Amino acid sequence: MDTVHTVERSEDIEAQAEADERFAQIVETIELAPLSGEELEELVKIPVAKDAGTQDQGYRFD
Amino acid sequence: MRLDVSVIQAGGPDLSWLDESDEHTHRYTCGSAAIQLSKRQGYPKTFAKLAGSRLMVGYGSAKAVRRMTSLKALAIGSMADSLSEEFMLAEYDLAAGSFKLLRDAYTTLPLFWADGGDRHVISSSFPGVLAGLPPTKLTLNHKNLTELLLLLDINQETLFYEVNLLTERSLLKIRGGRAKLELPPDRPAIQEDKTAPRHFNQALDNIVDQYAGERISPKAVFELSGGIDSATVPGYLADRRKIQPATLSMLFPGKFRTTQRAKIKAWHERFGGINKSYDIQASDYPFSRFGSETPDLPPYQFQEIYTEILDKTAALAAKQAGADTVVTGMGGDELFENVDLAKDNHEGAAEIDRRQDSKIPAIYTPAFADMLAQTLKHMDRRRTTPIPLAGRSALFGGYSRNNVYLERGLWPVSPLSDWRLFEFCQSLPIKHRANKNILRAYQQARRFPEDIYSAQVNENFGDFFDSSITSNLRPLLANLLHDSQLVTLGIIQPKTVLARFDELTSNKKAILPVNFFTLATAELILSSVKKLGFKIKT
Repeated sequence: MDTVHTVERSEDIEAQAEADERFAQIVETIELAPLSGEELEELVKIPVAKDAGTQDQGYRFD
Repeated sequence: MRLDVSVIQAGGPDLSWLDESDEHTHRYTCGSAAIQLSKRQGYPKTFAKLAGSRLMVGYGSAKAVRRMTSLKALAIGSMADSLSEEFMLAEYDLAAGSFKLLRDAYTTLPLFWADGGDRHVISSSFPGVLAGLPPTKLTLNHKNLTELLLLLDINQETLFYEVNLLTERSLLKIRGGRAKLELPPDRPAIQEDKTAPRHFNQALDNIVDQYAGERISPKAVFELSGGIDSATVPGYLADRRKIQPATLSMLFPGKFRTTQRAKIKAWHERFGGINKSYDIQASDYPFSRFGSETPDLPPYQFQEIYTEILDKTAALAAKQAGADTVVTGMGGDELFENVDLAKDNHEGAAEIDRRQDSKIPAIYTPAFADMLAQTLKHMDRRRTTPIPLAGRSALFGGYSRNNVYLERGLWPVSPLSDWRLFEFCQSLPIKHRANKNILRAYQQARRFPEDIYSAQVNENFGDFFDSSITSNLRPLLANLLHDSQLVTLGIIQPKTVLARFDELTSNKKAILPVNFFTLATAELILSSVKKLGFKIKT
């Protein structure tokens, strides 16, 4: 743990730009199959609440 | 870090503060009025400034501290403009007989406050605020009790009417022996489909860059569960800022331990750095610190879920790395969840309707249904508390969780909980929020290990917690039922509770394990409050 350290920031513009470009391409491909309103709601509920039957203050180990 | 304040109208001819601060604590007293705050030198920095009878204490970023300590008393409200800063500012003016406490939108340090009749007590710890009250009567809050037992969402209340949470952007004023709470306005409405998905990576990177500038210290450690959320920030920082991340992992027993280990290993092979892991034991949860006895100090509700596990994990960091900050993945769920912020704020007509349809577990008597019905009668059909800037459940999770880290000297920092990122993400189209698709795209583009962002492999940590409710807990439960507040209230019968518990632990799962957890939690809080000498008015 003693090895934790930071060094001077490297902007690394090229790698950043490449990642951004890849992201732009991937994000264009995101689609959902047609779902009912209920199915959509279920899909984006907080996973821990859905899985464990607990409330929001329940099991939170992200 | 810890804050404790006793606000008593001191009076008397001598209105000067006695400064007894040392290297660890800002400590000021005047008669029986007192304020003490643990010192921190790194982020966030604590401060204390004395000017005549007026004392200002608090914490914040270096910038916020400079601004706060140069303010005049009347400007205390203007700090609410600094919504992107973490801060807390308390001002105690003996000459004016007034106390003010303003807090930020982030609420990392939990703050509880109590009106004890002849005094007001404020503490960052739930048992701390109770310990500061005279042991007279506490009044049971039936609404909060039903919320705890039925796993309904809570607001700023606790099990006792006298004790409340000081929630985000709130200003507490005490003057002339009376407390007044000034609540902030609702957060501005968020329009769905307003933000462009292609800008998500910039929005996220900007927030993390801002945090890396001050909030994430060089001695920071990073939670890394193997899941998608906690992997995000250290991964970005390893690439962008070339740090060697020191990560902390809690490895759950059973099948998840294997998949967690594999993901953590893959993550470190990609990003470097080192990992320290704590192998969670079955004996770590639940109620592991209590045995079969009533605790001396009451835990805050749901704190029990985290205490032993987080504390043992935090000990790895605090002991070996000299770490002062822990970066968590909290808030990742709330960024993408499907909420109607105006309706799903756990108050008002929609919430009353939802509660009327609550299914009551078979461990409760009909008197419990009556209690629930009574609480609904007194709930306001209009919403009375504001919509918070950040994801509500992440904020409230912090009230149960953060003190475990803070007591180890680790300041929890959660970039994914930032309200600005929350605002951006909640405005994304649903197809990008669903299944955290856009965060998966982000990690794929940044060449994170596929196992981390793949939607195919997900650990369900809830299984561990549910399976921890075993017959080993029967002595504790039997002991609690022997002198039970809930029995006195008539909402449970010991025989029925034990019968249902035995059914559960012999795999006849008619009742959810979590129902016994909440019941035992309520009993533990109530019995330990009695042990402190309080009489509970029901």
